[in-house]
Amino acid sequence: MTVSLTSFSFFIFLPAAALVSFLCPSKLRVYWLLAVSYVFYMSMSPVYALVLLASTVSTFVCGLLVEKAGEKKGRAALILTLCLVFNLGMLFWFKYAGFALKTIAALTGSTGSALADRAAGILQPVGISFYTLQVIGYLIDCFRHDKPAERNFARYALFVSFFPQVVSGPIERYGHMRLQYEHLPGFSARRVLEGLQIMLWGYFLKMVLADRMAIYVDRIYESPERYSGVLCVIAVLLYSLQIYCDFFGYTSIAVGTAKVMGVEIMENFDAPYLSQSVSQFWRKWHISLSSWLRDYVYIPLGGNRKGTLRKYLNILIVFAVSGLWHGAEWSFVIWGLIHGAYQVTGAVLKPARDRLAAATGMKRDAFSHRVLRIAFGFCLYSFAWIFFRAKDTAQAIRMIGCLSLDGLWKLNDGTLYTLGLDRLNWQLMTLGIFILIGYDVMRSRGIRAGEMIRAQETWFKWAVWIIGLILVLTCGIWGPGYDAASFIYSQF
Amino acid sequence: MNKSVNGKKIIAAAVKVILFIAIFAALFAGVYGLTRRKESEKRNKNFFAVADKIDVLFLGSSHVINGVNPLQLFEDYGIASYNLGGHGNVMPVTYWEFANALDYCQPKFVLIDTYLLDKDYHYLDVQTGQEPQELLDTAVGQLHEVLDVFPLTKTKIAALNDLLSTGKARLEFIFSFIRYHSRWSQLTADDFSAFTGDLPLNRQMGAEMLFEVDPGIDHYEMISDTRMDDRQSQGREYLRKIIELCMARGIHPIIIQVPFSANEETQLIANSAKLIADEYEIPFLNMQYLPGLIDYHSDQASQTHLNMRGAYKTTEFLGESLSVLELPDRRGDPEYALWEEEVREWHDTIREKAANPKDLYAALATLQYDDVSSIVFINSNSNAFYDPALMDMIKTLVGTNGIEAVSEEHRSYCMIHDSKNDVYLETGGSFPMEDITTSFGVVNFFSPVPEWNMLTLGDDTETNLLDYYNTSDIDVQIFVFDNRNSELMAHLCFDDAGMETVAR
Repeated sequence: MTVSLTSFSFFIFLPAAALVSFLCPSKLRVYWLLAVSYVFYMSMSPVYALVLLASTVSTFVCGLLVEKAGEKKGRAALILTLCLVFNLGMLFWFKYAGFALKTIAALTGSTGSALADRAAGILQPVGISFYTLQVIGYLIDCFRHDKPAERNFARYALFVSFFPQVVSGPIERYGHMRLQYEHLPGFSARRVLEGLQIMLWGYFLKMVLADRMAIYVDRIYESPERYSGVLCVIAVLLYSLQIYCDFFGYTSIAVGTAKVMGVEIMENFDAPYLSQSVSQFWRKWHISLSSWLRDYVYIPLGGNRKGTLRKYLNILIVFAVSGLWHGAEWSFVIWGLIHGAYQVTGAVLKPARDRLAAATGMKRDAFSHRVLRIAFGFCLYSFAWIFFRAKDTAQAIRMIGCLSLDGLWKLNDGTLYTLGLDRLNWQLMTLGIFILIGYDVMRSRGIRAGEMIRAQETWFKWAVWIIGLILVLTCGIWGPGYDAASFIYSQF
Repeated sequence: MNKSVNGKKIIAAAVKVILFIAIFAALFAGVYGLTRRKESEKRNKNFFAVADKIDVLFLGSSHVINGVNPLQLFEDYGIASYNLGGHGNVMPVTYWEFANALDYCQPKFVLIDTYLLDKDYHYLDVQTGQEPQELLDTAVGQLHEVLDVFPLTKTKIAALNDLLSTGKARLEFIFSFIRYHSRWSQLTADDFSAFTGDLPLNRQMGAEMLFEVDPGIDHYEMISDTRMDDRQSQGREYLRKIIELCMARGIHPIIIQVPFSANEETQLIANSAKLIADEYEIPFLNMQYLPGLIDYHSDQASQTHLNMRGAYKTTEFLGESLSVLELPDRRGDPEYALWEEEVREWHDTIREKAANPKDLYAALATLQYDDVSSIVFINSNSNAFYDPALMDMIKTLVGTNGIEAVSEEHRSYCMIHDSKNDVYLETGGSFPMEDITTSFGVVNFFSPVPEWNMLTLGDDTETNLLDYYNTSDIDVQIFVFDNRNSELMAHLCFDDAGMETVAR
């Protein structure tokens, strides 16, 4: 039986895991959490737990060896390199071998496609992209002497496999987790309630919004040519919200679950679509990945220290890597490069934009101007997401070809309600989007909706809880035909 | 002191938790009740009200639901029966519906229809593995319609284990919210009326009489009733299990085949049920082969389902057949008051349908009932004269071929049907019907000028009831009278472009 964050079994698994953890002597808690994390992982991918274990053992041992090598930089670098090769090799084998062989076959015109197909058929261990980055980050920190190597294997293994985050992150740093795993707390009603509240928000985003949006988006993406341009535009815009609700929803469930278990993990989103620029967007979207790429790829490449051109090149490289990390398809690389290009273009045009603003007396801090920037940014992200959502580059290009304002009347003649979602479903979805916007606006002003609710009278808190629960249970997309494991980011 | 404070805090927290859970549970129960599908309850809730009084139980698929009318059996023969057919019921489902029903009833006779006899699969959610998902979902939905109304018992759990392949699939039959929570955006008045306890239930003892006529069904040559095959299938296996269950419970099983325009393959399958009947030495009533029982022009609502005309004839045959079995006559017995009540409701339904038919075919089909009398008028040169199904229906209604002569001479046609006095009169063109005394008054029909007819009723001999003015294309006009009070219930007008009702 698969246990995933949206499966029935999870609602048996989590209370059981938490209850035993709270009853456990504090010293044994880490072992218990490690055990349940492996049970959780093995329920999805029993054999590939060995890959997770191999990754954990190799980086744990190498971390110690690197530290032991001390000032012998060459030896430490050799150990680091070997361990990186091993772990990246596993990632490459499981995720990129098929893609690489296909690309080579396409470039050379050779007939190696059978081999490529076989390689593409290799099942990818769940969460390998996430935990590989996590262990690499740890190892590089050890190499840089930023953090001492961990000597307790159980704590380290828990860091790699902690069940709320092992599938889709956030990609944690050991420095942030070490102390928490050393002193795992017992039961706290306040903390458990906070965790459950965050989880409920996550389920709302995932099941009420993201999966509802997916019904329409999937229908249009399946064959965009069959629909008028304006319906395709809506699908493209809606996908931007879908992926946000999906991944933010997942992260909230993960953060809330970890909180219930007594562990604080980092948040991954900070109202990204309210960003004023693409670079700001990337400081607020998938924060754990962006900061990882910044610390372990962009800065080692020279960051912005080696001149403007090199900086732009570094940005493009980082975003290409980001794209490739998301998926073994050229469409993901293009998606990354588009974002890189946005940033480079933005930087190149900045002086001209500043001069234009000064010359025209543009009020760049005015609310209307900020709204315009947000809307413009949303359109840019949405365009890039086309390559992310499409199954390959060809489908993305087909989708782009279908975008137009043709068939505006379809918004008014009921056609919209025949594409998987009826009128009430659209209304519910629209209401949910407004709630999300309100949440993000509050967040961007430093107001935490969760804290605000917790500060209210009991009746109000209960009303929010009960309405939230009933809304998710009734209006959430679940039940027969629903794949409980289908978070978008779980495929990465 | 500290202990006492802590104790109070724990108690307060526990009370809050319990209160929260209670409020949530109450509201959730409300939502659960609202989103729950009500079809099963609507169809068969009344089964539980009469279960211990049922003498005859009908099992099968929608063919039985649409083909056998327990209210007619009660009214005409005093037989207390219930129609427990289920939409799309294959034999395994019929077996388990019967097994569940036996927890509440002990009929003397069980009549099992054999349509879908050769469906050779066991699990509804898998079937043969070739069906599209929508079909599997439909089958599971139909199983909900059959089983939801039955309380959760060992028998029901056994049914779920046998009919569905996985625990996950079975779970939604125990907690149907899993599937039906998504109905929140399709709630109807019925869903809310379930809250107030006045959900409109089936008023035909499980049957569903169809008031439509499909005159365009395909006809097939009948094969010899001796042509059969002895292949094995899940369906046949479960038919045997039904028979054995009957025998184990002291119930007499009878296999039946409700007639309809069946193709060769379906006829062969139906005939083959005789092999099983012979195996157990039980009767097999194959109504496909009763000469003239069904008129395929007028007695079917669709290619495979009888309408109320066909059901009337089938039920009449079954009533005659069952009446030789010395079943007790339950008419007038206060214990069987619900059947009496439903018979009255049934007649109200007939009157309502006669006054509001779907189309001309349905209107003519409904006129056969003695609840209404009628006058039918057809304009000269009407397309109705070229419609064999309509002609057949009128001929059957009157019992003569008079309309054919009128049709050949391109004259208008008028038929007076006083069912209260069992009087049928017809005429054409300028041949008048003068001072015809009927239960609904004195009728005069004549033609003062060519192509112009006059129909009057009662003392008012000046007012022409025929409508020549309001709509120009009226082809057929029907006046429907309520036999309870002899009052005019409806004046129906139909145009010549498909015999749809004309708005007046």
